Amino acid sequence: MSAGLLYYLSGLAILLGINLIAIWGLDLQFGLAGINNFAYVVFQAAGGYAAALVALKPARAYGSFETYVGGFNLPFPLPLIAATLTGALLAVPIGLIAMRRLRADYQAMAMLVLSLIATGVANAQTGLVNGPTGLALIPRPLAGTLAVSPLGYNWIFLGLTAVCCALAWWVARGISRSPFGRLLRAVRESESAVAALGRNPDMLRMRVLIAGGALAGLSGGLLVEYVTAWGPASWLYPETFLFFTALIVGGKGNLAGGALGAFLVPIVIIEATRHLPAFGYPGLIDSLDWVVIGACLLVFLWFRPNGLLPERKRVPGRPGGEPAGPGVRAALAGWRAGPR
Amino acid sequence: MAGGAAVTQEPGAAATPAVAQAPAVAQAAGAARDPAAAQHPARDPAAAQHRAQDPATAQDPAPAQDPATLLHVEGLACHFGGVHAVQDATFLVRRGTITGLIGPNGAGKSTVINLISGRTRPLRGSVLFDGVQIAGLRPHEVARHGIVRTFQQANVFGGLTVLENLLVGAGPWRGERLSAALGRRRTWSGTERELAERAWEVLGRFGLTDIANSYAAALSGGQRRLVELMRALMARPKLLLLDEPMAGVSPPLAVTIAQRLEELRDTGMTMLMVEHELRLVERLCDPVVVMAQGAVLAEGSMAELRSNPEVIGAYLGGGRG
Amino acid sequence: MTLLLSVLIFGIYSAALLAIGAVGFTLQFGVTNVLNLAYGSILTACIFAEYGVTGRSTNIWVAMAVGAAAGALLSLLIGHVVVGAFIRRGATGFGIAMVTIAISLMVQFSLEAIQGPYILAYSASTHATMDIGGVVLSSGQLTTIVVAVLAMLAVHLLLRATRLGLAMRATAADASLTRSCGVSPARTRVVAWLVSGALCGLCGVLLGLGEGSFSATTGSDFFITLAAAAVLGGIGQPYGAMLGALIIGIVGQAAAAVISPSYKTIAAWIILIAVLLLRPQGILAEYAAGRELVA
Repeated sequence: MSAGLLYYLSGLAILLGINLIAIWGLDLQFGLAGINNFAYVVFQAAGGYAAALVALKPARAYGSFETYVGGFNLPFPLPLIAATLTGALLAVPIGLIAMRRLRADYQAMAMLVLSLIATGVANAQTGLVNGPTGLALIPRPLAGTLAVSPLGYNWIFLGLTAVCCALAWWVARGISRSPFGRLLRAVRESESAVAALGRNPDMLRMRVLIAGGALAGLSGGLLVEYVTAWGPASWLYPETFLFFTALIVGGKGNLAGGALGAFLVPIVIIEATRHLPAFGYPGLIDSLDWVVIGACLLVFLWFRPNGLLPERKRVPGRPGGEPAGPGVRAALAGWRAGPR
Repeated sequence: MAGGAAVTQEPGAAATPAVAQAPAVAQAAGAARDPAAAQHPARDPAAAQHRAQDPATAQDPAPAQDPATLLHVEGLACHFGGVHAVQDATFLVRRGTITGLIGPNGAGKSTVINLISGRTRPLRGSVLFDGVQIAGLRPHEVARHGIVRTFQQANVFGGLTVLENLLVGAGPWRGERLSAALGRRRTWSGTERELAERAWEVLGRFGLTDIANSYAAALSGGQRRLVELMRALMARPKLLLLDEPMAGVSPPLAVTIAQRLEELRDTGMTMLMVEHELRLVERLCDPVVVMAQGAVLAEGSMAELRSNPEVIGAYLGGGRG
Repeated sequence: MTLLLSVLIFGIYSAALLAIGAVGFTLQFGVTNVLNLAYGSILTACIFAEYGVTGRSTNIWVAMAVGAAAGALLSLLIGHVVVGAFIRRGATGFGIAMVTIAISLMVQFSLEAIQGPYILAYSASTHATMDIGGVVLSSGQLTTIVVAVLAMLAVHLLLRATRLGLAMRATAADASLTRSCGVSPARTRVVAWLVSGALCGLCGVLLGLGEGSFSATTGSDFFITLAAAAVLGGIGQPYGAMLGALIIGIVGQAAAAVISPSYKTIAAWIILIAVLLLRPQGILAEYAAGRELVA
């Protein structure tokens, strides 16, 4: 394999890892707890900005060609920690809005509007994060201290991403298999029954928003440190639906399903189509990618709303659960359930 | 989580001294289980007659402190969009009884259940549960005081198996926190095993062990009702609120449910049951509270109520039992 | 003083544009109970369709006719055929929202693919203008206001003075009841999709002509603003949408004047969130009284 091909593949693997973390985070919120978080990309964006603003030097140091708050120039791993914490903290105000007991589609619209407001403010308040142009020259972790080739650095970053993925997997799996996870699924099914059994559904949802938000923030921090640039164009509201499509195609409520979706949707559809012989004008394929994503979403919502690897049935003695079997469609069509 | 009035005792509490347990809970729980309480002079026929004839005197302050009274509802009222669904509900539920709540359609019976359980906010009135004022509390707070309710339409967790439904029913416990989920499995797996054993035991009692691993959504309506009931039992409530448990249930299944409820009453559990099927009410409930047009009309045994002209006029429609 | 007058007059123009779209959106929601998040993409598609038919220079009346027709057809296809299929299968609430999102992605990015790198604009022509106390309105803007008023009157007449309108109001109030009165809810829903689609297309072409240029994302941003108007006034209630449009139109202009132009839309979106948090049934809460907008 040529170094060029290895460089490309390692970069792809990094992106896969970053998407895995983000998608598992959304799976906790949406797959497990049934929260229709159409503002999910904002969590990732906030994590990305946090990492950037912590890692960058103050704006003056670059000759003030960008204007932004912060710039603490702190070394690895502080930007990533800041990213994770920011994602978790953002869950609090957003959760207070999500907890308003609106009808499911109304709530979805409210979250969507939040995402749009966030983009609007980021664009309008140029002093915040440099407006539409965004932030650039974000320092990579340990980039200065390691004397390696670009390919070598990619491997190191891949290693870092893999560690973070393992962490995310451990968190998501732990929650999914725990009594807390069972309670989240119960809230998804019927919050009135959960309340009648002595638990506060709002607090439960807040907690999973925080957990999922932390993962989203981490993924944002990694992404920003890899691509070294971040602007509102990188986190427009359709990105949220990229993650949702990955879950609905791969299977929500199932970590393996999320991983499959993370591979099929962001990687296969987006990356693979990049290598088609170029036709039309530059950018045509990008637009068509999104048409394909919308079509996949529609097709799966019709034929397999539970995804290729649906949520597994939890039975005693088999921690990994067993295939859902008959009755799965009725039971797990969570996308059609709403809180009662 | 394990507050002064937990919905359930932490299972295996005796073996785990680390679990904080308010003494009052242990006492109250013990009292509810005490068979002697069931034979308590809860049904003084003379007093019941008196109350049946003159509802106003039911607001005697003494019942609030009466240890035989578990629930004392007084002057409860609420309205929906201009209509007074409940105007003035006042009645008692004594320990160890299955108290019935009957009345014609629109009398406000389900609304009273919603008011007690916290699903609806009352406009005014008081709900004293075991001496504690719970009117206006939110549903999960009411549940933590030891009241568990069932719903008119069987409200089970469809995407969870029957066993999981029951495990959730076992009430708030330490192992279900987020911190426990991220920590070592050993901190909660022991208790989880005990809860599972209890769940299997309940399933066995109901003869439903074969559906333990079925999704609740895949069950029939009658089976779902039983799951809801079993799940409520897992919480070991002091008071069980049943909102039309037999609605839409086949007669043989209704008999099964009635038998289970009788068994529960015999173990000392207190229940307040809204029901339309009067034969079942007659079999199971004593005393019975009659509501009409948002207010309590009368209270007493079915025999007494049948001879009460007001009740006949409002509901029984001509003396049919 | 001219600032105040300018805010008022352009606020009314904004309100007029919003009202056409908001009434369509809310009317369709009232009758079909579907929150159609693809409405914005239909709006954009109608601008594209009209541009495709008439090109750069266009007669405003022809544009409106083409836009309304395209909107009605597209709305029927998306709403009745596609979303309807999912509803007949048992989808509710959130599932339908995901379906409409999927459709909006497909439509919007197809339009983006069609647009390509080109800038789509209408040729500037010397319009007649009108000067009101120092504030200058173009003839296109005046026409928009007039058309909006006419459209509101037409909707009012439809709802109050025709059997069809009565059927729509009844279906919005209680669909199952209307069936027993011999009214076909399915037919009423079809009409609702058609009418709301026509209003959507009308709004779209007037927006495109008013802005002078457009792109594949024109409709999606505007959609949230008109949804804000509909929700603020009371979702499901056409008169509420008119009221909401007036408020949002003027407040938006004020925000643009006082804070900055980009806050015209942000202010509207913040109002939407505030309404959803504090009073989701909106100002004229008639429709929501019998429905569970709050779960």
